[in-house]
Amino acid sequence: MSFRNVTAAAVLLAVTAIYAYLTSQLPARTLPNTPDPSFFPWINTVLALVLSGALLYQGLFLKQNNYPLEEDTKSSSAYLALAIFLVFLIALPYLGFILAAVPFVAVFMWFYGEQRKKVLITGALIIPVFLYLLFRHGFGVMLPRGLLAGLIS
Amino acid sequence: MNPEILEGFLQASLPMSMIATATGSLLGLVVGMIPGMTISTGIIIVLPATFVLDPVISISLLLGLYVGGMMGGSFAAILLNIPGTPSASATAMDGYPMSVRGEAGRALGTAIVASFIGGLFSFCCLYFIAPLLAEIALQFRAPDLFSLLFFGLTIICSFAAKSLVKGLLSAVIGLMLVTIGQDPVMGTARFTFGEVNLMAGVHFLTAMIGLFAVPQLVENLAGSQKGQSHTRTQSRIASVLPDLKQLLRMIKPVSIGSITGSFLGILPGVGGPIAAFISYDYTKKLSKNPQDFGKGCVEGIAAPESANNAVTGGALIPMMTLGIPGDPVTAILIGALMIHGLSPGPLLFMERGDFAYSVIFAFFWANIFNLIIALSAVRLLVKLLSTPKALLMPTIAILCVVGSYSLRNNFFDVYVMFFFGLLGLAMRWLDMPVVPLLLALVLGGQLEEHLRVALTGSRGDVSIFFTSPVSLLFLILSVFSIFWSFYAARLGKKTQQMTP
Repeated sequence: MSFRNVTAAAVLLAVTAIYAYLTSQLPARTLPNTPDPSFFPWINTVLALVLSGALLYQGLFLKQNNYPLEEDTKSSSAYLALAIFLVFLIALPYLGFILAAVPFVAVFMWFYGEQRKKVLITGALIIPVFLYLLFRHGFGVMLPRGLLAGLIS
Repeated sequence: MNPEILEGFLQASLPMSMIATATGSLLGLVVGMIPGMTISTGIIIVLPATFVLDPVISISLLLGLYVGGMMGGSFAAILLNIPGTPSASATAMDGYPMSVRGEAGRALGTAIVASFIGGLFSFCCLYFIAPLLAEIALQFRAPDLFSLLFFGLTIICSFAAKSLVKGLLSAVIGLMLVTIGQDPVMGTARFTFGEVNLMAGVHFLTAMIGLFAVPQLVENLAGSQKGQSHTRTQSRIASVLPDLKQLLRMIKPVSIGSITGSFLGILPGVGGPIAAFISYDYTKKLSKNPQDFGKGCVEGIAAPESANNAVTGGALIPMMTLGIPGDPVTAILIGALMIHGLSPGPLLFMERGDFAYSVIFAFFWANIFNLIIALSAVRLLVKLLSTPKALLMPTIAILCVVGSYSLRNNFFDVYVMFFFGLLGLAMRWLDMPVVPLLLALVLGGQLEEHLRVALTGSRGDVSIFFTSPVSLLFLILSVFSIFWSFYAARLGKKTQQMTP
């Protein structure tokens, strides 16, 4: 039995069930000889059902190579880095680009092995400020100013 | 001369376009060189900067990056025995032994010149074949277009050879995601849950940033913690310019590589690595001294390098004329063009012939700049192999956020990007390829549209797909493509065993 294949199949079957339910709720159109908006989603549902079923069968009954988990997906730091990335994304609209990015870059630099404090601080300040100026003033991307709205342009 | 050709040439040769091409080439060389960075990631990072630029300047920048990235991959392969890109794997077999022997400069010079000739040959193919193919494609009707797109989707099989079921499931997930938003025929809102931001569907560039860049950040993080925070090269680089004797030795391998690469580039899903290995193999078989291969010979570098750069021009042919991406990079290029309101396909040559030719000439300039920059700045460029990941990776993370935000100046897209990043990681954990999902996102919308239009036209009769000769041809080609994909995958596995 392949644990990963069974997990994938179970998740996909659940997703397919939800997708099928939502497809059944789509409004019908009564134009003659014209496929409904739900036509293509139903094709997807059938394909997903058949393929998830096949994966489940493979996972349960066929002899599989149980590949060891990749180091990067096992690493707890990777999960922590993702969590920090998410915190950064949530804080971004409120704090603004620079205020949110400075600590984020510092933490990420540390995660990637930079231990020198001077380099950490300099990098964490220069990278966000440079990118902010480049995209906001160079390319016209309206990156949020957040709490610094009155101080920076 | 066709005025559109002249117009295209002039647009691609404007100072701003040339600066963009040169910048792209330089960035591409850097991105290609750094192990762990892919050309796709490089293009994704640069993409937000192109939104505000003129379409010709944008595509010049991106094409420069595409072509430069292919060449840059060989630098790390030669100096470190770590291919910067998968396409440079074959180059390492002879490049690294030459480098160890103290002939790093000669090896790099061979790679640069061979890449240039391969790229130039594929430019000629692009220039002569693309307009003819576009003219033929203009005659296609809805059933033909559906079958054509279906044929395009069969390249999924080449990314799913490890597990066909998982590859197809990945594509089906992509097709499911494509149905989010207004349906392409009637405009009915589907799976939007009342969220206005979902009415236009999931932007596939947002999805792509998440799917490619976030897992790469995690992967590099693990690498850093294993002590691979940066790579150092010790190789001393002497003269790079090849001499006459060396150039003469390159004629045969470069000819084989250029022809093979251009042809295989046109076939969807084959890509640089297979073209490089096939060229290497043929050159070795046709060589008078096959025993020298693998020990550091010029021919062993020239063949794969000309092949992988010839693939770039070949891959642009189906992208520009049929709207079918042959690999992830051309899929991103399609997205980049769509942002500028341009839709690659047969109509591009009819409605915006000047732009289509400017793409072709930008590709030409990209190869020229690549040669100039690589030859003149190679010593400086190899120093970048030591760029610490502690600076590079946080910058990439920030650029992912800026890239997805700048699509519509909307945080919703940033969260969608993060969702796709998690999806990419989950798929990685489940050993599912992400490229089929990406291709389904690119082609799915049009696939549904043409399917429904064809069925409406035939009053629901599916035989329309078999009675139209063009449609039937593409369906037969689809079957052939599936078998070819598996053959190529087996070949790839075989040749992988040859990699040092």
